[in-house]
Amino acid sequence: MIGEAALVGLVGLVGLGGCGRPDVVEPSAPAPLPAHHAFTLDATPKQHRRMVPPEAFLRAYLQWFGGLAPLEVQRRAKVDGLFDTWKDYLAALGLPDYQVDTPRMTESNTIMLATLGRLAEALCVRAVEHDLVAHPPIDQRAIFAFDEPDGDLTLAAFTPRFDVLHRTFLSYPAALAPADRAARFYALFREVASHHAGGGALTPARTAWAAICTALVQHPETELY
Amino acid sequence: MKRRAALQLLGAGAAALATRPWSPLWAGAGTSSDDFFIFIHAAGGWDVTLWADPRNETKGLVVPASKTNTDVGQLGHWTDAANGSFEILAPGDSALRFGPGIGNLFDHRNRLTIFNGIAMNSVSHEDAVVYSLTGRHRTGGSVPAASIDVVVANELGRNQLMPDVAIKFGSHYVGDNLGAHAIPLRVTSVEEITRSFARSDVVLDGADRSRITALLTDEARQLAGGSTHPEPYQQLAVQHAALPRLLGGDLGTAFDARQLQAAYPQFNYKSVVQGNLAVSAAFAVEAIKRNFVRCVSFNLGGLDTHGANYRQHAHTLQELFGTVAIMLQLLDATPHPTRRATRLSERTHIVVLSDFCRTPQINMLGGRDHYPNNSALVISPRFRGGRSFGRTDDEQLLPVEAGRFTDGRRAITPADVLATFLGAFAIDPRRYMRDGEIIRDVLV
Amino acid sequence: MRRSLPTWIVALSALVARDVVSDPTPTPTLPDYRYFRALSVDLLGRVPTRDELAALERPDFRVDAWIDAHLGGAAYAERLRRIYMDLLRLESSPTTHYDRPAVSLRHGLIEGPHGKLDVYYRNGQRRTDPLIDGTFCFTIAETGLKVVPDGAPQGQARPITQQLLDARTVEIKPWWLYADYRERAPHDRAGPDWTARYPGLDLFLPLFVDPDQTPTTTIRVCREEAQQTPNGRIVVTGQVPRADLVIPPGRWSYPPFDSTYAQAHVGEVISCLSGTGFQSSPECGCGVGLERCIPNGPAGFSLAVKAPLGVDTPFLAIPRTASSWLAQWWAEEAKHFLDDIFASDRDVRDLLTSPGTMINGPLAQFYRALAGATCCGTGTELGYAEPEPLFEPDRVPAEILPIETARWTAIPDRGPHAAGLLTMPVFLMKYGPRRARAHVLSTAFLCKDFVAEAAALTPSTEPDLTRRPGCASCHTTLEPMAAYFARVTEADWTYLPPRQFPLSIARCAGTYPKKPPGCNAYYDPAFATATSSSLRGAYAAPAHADAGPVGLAEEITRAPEFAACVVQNVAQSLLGRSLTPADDRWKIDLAQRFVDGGYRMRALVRAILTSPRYRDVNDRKPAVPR
Repeated sequence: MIGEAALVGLVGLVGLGGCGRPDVVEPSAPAPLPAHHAFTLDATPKQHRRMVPPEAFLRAYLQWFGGLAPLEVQRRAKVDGLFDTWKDYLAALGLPDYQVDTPRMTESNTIMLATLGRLAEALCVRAVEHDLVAHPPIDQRAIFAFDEPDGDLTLAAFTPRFDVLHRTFLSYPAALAPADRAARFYALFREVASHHAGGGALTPARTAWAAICTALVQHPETELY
Repeated sequence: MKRRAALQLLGAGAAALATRPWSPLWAGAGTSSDDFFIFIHAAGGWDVTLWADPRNETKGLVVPASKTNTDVGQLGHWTDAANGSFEILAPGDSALRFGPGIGNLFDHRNRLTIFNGIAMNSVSHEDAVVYSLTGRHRTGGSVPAASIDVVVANELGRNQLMPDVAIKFGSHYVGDNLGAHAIPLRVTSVEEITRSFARSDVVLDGADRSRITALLTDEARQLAGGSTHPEPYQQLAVQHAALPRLLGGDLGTAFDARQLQAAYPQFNYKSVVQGNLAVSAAFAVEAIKRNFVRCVSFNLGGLDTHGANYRQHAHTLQELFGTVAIMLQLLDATPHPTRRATRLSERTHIVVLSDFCRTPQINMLGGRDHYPNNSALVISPRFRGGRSFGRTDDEQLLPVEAGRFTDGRRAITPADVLATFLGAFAIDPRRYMRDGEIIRDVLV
Repeated sequence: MRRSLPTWIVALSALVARDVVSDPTPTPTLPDYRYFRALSVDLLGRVPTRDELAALERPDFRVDAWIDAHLGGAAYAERLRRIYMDLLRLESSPTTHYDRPAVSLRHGLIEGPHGKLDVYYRNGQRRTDPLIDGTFCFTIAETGLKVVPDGAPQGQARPITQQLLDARTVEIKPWWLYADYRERAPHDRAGPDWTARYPGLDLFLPLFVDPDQTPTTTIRVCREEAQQTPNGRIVVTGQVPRADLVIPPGRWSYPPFDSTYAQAHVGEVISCLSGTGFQSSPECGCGVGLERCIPNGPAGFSLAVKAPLGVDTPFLAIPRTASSWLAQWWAEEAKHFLDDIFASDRDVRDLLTSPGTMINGPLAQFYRALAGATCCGTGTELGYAEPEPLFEPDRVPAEILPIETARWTAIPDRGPHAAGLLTMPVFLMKYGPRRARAHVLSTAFLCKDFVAEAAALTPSTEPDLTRRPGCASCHTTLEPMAAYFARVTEADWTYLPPRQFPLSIARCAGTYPKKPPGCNAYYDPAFATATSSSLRGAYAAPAHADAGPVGLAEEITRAPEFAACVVQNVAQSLLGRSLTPADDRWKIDLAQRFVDGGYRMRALVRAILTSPRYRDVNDRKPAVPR
């Protein structure tokens, strides 16, 4: 798609074509014109990507958690030490505190990322338990709205499932992401599954899905808009 | 002469305040990478007549602290004067003079460098805090420059795990010359740090997390490469890359508030005003000892005493400086994490700033309001201890000329204090600050 | 994604980028998804769901229609409110309570005829018995206890007789325990069904069980506090401060002193809604069902201390007393007021000028029965005994119950002194000093700061800050603005009417022989002459003092900077960056359209969201031709 402003700019450039006359034009031998490449000029305005406001992140987080109230999320997430209390995280996410005049944070920092990671693991582990272990109908799954295939997960089988998560957290199809993104996440899936092949609280594949989910919740494109 | 014009002169090598021949401190000097910095904001605005700029006589507007407006019972350095006020502390071994609010920091008087008569031109908390920490007033509600902790972290914290931890501190990451590593880790309590880095290994473990952060670091770098404005992605790449070291250590337990209190029982955690904030001081010592941080910034507050709560102001100051004194003692007793035969205090630099000072007169409610004068305290081996610079007038406690600057004779400003501090570490202030001149006389 | 473009642009774009427009049902591109995500974040308050993305991908999706459908919902209002909350920070500090003696019901645990018994009372309650006047309604001799206002009773309890208990106290079914507390025989006691009937109400158990853990059905209150009469008669006891005063036998504290006002008006009728009535009449109690009072314990009211998504979605809620609970609702009043303006697309100038507001149950109780208790302090010395309120109590619908926390009602007119946010308790408490009030309004609504970059402060005794060297550069503007608040008490909402508080008063003049004690609180000695003294804060612009906050609201909204400042604040927030000189022309154009359109936020937000500045935040590095 081409932006309106860009089109106006192109019209302007066409109009400028007749301006400017050199004083002297030296004769030159005729030569073949160089080959040219056709391309669409991208002249759309560019802006910094900005942080998703923490309020929007929290609202999305509650939604990903099945639309639960914050205190219910806290109650469920705390099991297995995956979560402490909300008050431990809210300021680190960048929320302002109007009572004590602490301003909103507009830059990310390492503690913020660590907090997002903490929240991500709690969400993703609980979501695996809810969606994949308990296995409700697809339309009742908040995150993993797909079935696990039998046997080893190939890249071909991984990709459409990854797309479900990619849409959930990054809000666009994985097919529009940089070309190797699905493959890179598939590699992560394989590595985590392999690392946990000896067993654990979840099956290796489900542990790997928890890792994929955790990575996407913390993904740069989840945090920026 | 306008200050901006004066700066151009300064940049061209014009004679500045210093009596010594001018040469930029940063020219040819190597940056220190194993120094540590503690910035303390005494939040609310302090009464300088109770410590750095003591007054005990009624004169002009000045109504000194007395037993009628101050609870003196627990003040270790309050000695009754004949007029109901206090005796000024004037030790023979130092040129400095103190009021009773200095508390136990009096014992370290020869290590203190004090700036008095700092012209604030502001009595609004929001603006004055920004001015004290950045050297610039707010413009249109925005902060136009980086705060001192961010600047130091940017210059000296590049390879540090946590270059700048800011606990309830007014850090500002603003400006063109800043790297992503200098973004302050802003939290409202030490607990938040430990909770954020805590992890359960029931499902995912450290190896998984390292893989995740490696992938996200690559993703952020890739996105940065395809962006017209790559900065946000670059920041995230740096921050993701730092996570494994933070998640893999024992941060979650080492900095737990209860652990800190147990490790540093010297602090008074039960203090009414400063108790919780003393945990921040304990964190600073522990984080420096472990070589995790370059700068730790935090606030110690409770000083905004407009009403009858002024009665406790001197006591609050005593607690504040008492906390600093304990930190000094701990830093004296702790070896430097990387330098042999070096105490931490030899490489740790402390700055204590406030919004402004309080009115010399007592108001109708028995308190003191905001006043556009200020003092600041530096404790640093790079500064000459037992010295003060700048002064105020006798009757109105207003800043008066402190000396000749490139733009003429004038009082010192917060920008001068900050520029001097940066200059002490071979950091060119002009990379970050529009205003401010280095006061060489206070530097070693 | 399809947008409405002018025909000529569509035609031209077909020539330049045929691949884009030649497909009648093209798949959304990555910028389309990103644009939709940004719109969702700003208008829905969250990222889109998978279903919403699927809707985006349908051929019939029209982004313009989607935007229009979401310019007005709760999330949209919350998004705009956030801009102004970030600027004004309208929440009181955690230490702010409404704990005035006139409204605060304390309770003393004594040994009753049949075991431990809590008796509620007001510290300072006037009683005809001099042994208990101004204090708990039992003496130490009667209970064995010294019941102090703050802290546990001291001493060895001994049981009182039923006869004494009935003589001094009555049983009441209070407002927090019974929904029908105004009935003669209340029976609708708090129970599990209240959660459904009064959504959002969250009361904790301690309010509903007696010390012996049996359910509380009534509470015992000192007899005077239980009185319901709206007015009382002023009494005096002859107690006045003097050097040789001693505590009378049988008491542990001095009895209340007669105020100058009481001495001058003994026997006259006084409203029990005012602090003066509480201080001077034993006939003034807490009203029907104790609705003129709030219990200061036990901590039974749920306070949402961490609620970034609203108090109805708490992330941390803790039990607190009603005095903290009320302070929470002050902040909620401002938020609901903002939301109503944005959601209904009202004239944005209403933020400052509207006489109306939004209230719920606790606020209805506050404005109806509690707010007047801060009046009138030493103002009585100047003849001010009953409040002339910023929010007139009779404008509060009588049917709203204090426990109806989630029921919000629009009040179209609070009274002649009301002016949008400017006269709300949360604003007046957050910004206590009149200069602080003026300063924040200037910053938030005119985008102007008061900064004296180059001013040199020199010692001076000039009290007029508009003239004082160094100060003048800021205060020339600030003092006249602050003067608009000269008639609203600092850190309070008590209005100071011209009748009792003229701009200039002879009785407070420097040489006046019998200057009333209240003079210095209201009149500034620094501006007193031999014959008169000037109302505090009014010196720089006396006319502004009489115009009050209403006048300031008019001045700010009439200023040419107002519209530009709204545009700047909203645009910066939605774009996530500061506006630069390159945006000036756009900003001016938006401001003009904003004014021409009647100061409506919806059109402004729409213009920003559909502008290339917002829409094309694609951030992709253009492909470099080889």
